[in-house]
Amino acid sequence: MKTCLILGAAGDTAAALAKRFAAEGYDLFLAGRRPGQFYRDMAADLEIRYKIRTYIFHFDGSEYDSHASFYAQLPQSPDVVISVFGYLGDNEKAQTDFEESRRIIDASFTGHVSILNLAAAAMEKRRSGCIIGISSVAGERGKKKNLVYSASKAGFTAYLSGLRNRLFASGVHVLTVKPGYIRTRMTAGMDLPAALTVSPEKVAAKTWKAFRRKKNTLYVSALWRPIMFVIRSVPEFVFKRMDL
Amino acid sequence: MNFKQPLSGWGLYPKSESRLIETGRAEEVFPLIANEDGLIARGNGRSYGDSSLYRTVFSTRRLNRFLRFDKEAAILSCESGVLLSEILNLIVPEGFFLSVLPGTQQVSLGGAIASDVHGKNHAQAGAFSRQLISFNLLRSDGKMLRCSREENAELFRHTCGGMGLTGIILRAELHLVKIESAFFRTKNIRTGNLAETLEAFAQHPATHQAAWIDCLCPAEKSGRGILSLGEQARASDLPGKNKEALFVTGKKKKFDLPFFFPAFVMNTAAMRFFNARRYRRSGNPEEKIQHYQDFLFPLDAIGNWNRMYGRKGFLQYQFVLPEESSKQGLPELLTRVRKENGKPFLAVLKYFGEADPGFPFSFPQRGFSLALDFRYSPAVFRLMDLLDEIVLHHGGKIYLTKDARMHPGTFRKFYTGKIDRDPFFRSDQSVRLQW
Repeated sequence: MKTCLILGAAGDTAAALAKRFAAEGYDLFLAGRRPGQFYRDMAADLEIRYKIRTYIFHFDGSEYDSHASFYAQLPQSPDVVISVFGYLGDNEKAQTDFEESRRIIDASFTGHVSILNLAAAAMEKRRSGCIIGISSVAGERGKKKNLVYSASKAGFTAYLSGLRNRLFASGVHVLTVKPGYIRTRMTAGMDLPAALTVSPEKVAAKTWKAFRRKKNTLYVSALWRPIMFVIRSVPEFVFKRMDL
Repeated sequence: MNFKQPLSGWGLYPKSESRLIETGRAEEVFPLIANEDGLIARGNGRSYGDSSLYRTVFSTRRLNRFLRFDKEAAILSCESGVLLSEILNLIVPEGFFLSVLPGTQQVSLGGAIASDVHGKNHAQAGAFSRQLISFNLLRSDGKMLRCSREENAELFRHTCGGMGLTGIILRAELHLVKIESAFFRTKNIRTGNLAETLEAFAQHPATHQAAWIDCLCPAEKSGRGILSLGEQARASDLPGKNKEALFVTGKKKKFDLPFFFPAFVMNTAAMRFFNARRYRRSGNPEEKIQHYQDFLFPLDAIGNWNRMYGRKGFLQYQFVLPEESSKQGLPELLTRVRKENGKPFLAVLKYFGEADPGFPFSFPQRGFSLALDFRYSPAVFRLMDLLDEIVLHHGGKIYLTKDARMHPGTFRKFYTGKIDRDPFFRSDQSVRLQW
């Protein structure tokens, strides 16, 4: 039975991804920090709707010491691992409060490195599997808005790229998903540009397609690709003056 | 989301500018609404008027999980934002059905309860509440009450048909019925005028009965129509089908109207023509097998069919008259419509049996119910006021789910009970009716 591990399963994007993979017949391992009634309801819905099996686990991206035992206790080594936990944080606060910065870095970078190192090792050994990392277009270039978040995502994107390089020889696929703005609880109350904002369901649908086609990098929406190309190309002496 | 967006009911009248708030997590509903100064819950917005409109609207769309599907006990439990179509898609392949279904599947479970919807089989199966075991109701003080016939019973009975004024329904439990197939044995009986149509209900008993009638034809033929009859098909009625084929959900590729029809398209002459054509072609009395999608939900085939009426939309006048006064009251009402030059583009007649006692705001009562669709126009409002008098005179009442214009005085006379409401929950309709 195909299995998919979702790290950070309570978020809106994660829930949409869970639904998509469940619809394709994957049993799900749902992992998150507070696996209570909400997880049970989500699991019940997935099992009833898609006739798959779900398992719920406690997982905290920032508790690195627990990651090895967490991965070892899974009923089986998952075929697909989706690392989608994240924390946008308060940019202002992070500038003066390192704890906030650390939370952002853990949730957007270090935590992923810790757990995906384990997943990669397992997949490399058996020579199959896929790792899907939900990064962000914010990581395309360091900028003042969401400074620590975008820097962390930049690190995450680079890590996934390196992982792709390392795992190519063992036939393991790594997909980097770079969403722009998604309408979720994380962005609730924010004023997002309508043309560039997508639903979690859209992210899930596109991710599934990219997974099937073994794409390396997916932008959701595709509009971001040319935009990011431009942003990356702006010379630093101009960029440092900008208000992006 | 802190911006206002245009909203309306299915009739596209009235329209409002509302702030829509929503969450996909049951435990986050109260914190979200606690800071508001009043709102109404909205499922799929399929009520016709302003029942789910207000300056602030809580959308239950994302509270859409299935929670428990007990096949032995035939019980389904799910959140209130789940659509009846989703429920059927899940349960039909397992050999189950819902005994009461309204004319469209595109209604949320919460909405079905708040309107206490009914189908073509009310005389046998009652209204939606009859198959309802319990629901969880969130009140404005944050209390979550489990309501059933045994627990918080009065609240249970007031919420069914209570149009959302008692609180937000978060989840509900339903009885399911076992079926032998997803098909119906159906038959059409053609009638020559209103009296014949009314007679036909008694002369041709069936579990499901509904009559389409023509009100645009010459006066002496007014009320002629087609009485459609249906019974759930047994496996033995469908010898050609294997086990799997018996329970297909028939998910059809729905055709969606991409734009609003310009005003001239739906006009009286055209409708009169289509009505006459429909009537002429209905002569075949042979029994035929129809899938539930076609028999129960014919209008669902065209997505957003309400756009046929153009941007201004339409109003539906649905009322019920007690059985004793129907024979006199219905012709009187239709004559009045004709006299005032009203042109109902769609008219559907149903028969209701005895209602379950103690549901003060549930619409069905023993007698005949007629639903008339009118294109929006200022004259229609005056017409409906006149029709109210007739309905009142004969001891009937109006269906709140279709209402967009009734007056508070008339409302008070139709619905005399006092609702156990939570004043925090208000809609443009409840304000209009001074409920």
